[in-house]
Amino acid sequence: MIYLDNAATSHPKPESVYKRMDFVLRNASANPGRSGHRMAIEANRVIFEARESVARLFNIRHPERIIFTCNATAALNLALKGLLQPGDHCVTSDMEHNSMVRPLKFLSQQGVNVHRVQASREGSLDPDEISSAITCETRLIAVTHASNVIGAISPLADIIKAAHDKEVPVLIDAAQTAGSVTIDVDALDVDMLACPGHKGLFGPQGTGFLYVSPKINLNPTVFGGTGSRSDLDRMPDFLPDRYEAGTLNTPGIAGLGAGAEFIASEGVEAIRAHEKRMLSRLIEGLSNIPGVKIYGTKDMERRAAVVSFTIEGMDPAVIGDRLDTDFGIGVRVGIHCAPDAHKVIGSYPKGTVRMSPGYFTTPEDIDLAIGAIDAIASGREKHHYIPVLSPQPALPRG
Amino acid sequence: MEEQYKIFVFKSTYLTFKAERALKGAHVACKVVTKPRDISSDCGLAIRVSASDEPTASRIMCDSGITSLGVW
Repeated sequence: MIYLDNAATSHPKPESVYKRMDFVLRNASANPGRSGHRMAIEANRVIFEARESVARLFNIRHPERIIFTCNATAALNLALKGLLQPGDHCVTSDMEHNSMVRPLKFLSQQGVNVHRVQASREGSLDPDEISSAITCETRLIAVTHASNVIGAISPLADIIKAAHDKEVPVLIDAAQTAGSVTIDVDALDVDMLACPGHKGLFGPQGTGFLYVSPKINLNPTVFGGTGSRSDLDRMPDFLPDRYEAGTLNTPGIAGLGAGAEFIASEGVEAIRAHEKRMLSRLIEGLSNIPGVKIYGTKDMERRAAVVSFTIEGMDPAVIGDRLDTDFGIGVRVGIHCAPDAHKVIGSYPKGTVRMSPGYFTTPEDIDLAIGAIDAIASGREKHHYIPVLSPQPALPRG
Repeated sequence: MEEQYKIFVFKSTYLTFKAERALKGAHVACKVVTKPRDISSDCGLAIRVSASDEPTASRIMCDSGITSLGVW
């Protein structure tokens, strides 16, 4: 199939990710940090190396402050629930994914005051507006680096500076940018960075991390065994153990590490350049189709690899079904777990069709997708564009 | 004669493996082992080096910014 759903989960993965995970699952999937036999020690080493690889990719000086989680949502939950207390004030935006919206809603019911700044129609956040929203009770700025609906990239350095000028830390949701947009944690003085492992970092699902700077002290939100200070009935006071209770996803984290190493070898800038070429080609092609409305900026510098569009008079769900059934093209339709963002761009409640190319998307994939949308928009049949569709491979059993 | 060893104990598993990497990078033979029970009731790991390598290992860890909880 032609996979244009990389904003949800990247596919395919680099070959090295498959190989690393297969090797670790077969040879080093004992319990890291728990036992002292050779396989457990090797599992520990796998986790250590992955943490170091992720740290190098983001220029993180303190790798031990990278907390592995099961996804970006868990990372955001740890950051928000670990920091904010009743009476605290938190500034966020109306471009957030539900992974930010829902824990903040929960916290607001516990007494945290949440203020949402408005994004522009193109989805970008204004650092001055964020600065204006800060009060003497503001404990955190919690915003997305790029919208998962329209890809709008917000000015990260300016937002952090505006917040730091008023001595407020920033939590960045980098779900749509990690791996494909350079994020230099040290240079930007990032306080907290939440990333999924399974999107731009090319790891498997079930992986992610939260980076916590030495200036931030979070309360743990999950409690349990760590294999360290087992004599205590409370969580250790050192990282990463303080926030990593329970057995880690060793094969998954191995894959995440391999993904980070692949990105480092290719270069984030090269990945970004390829994605921008695919984005430009897609947006230009879709722009020429009558009835198609594209949301968000046409400035590729300010756009992550996400294109949301609608076809006049057509339900996005029907378009998505036809793309899959008739053309073998995988996209995501609807409101993408970000209802407020769709309200901002005027596509709520039906939502949009979202195409998200990745590093392995080819110009031919983009041209076929444009042809398919042209056919759907003009009511033509599928056979003009895709002659043969390969079936979804069956899961091996037994 | 039986070889004598020294055990370096660290606060965290992360530091243990950081120390292992630093020592191996400097070609100092070492082994990650379970913390001996008479050193700690903790179920964590430690680094074992030849007793004759202890001063070198200590210096390498110091140069790498790795602080151990002690040597036994």
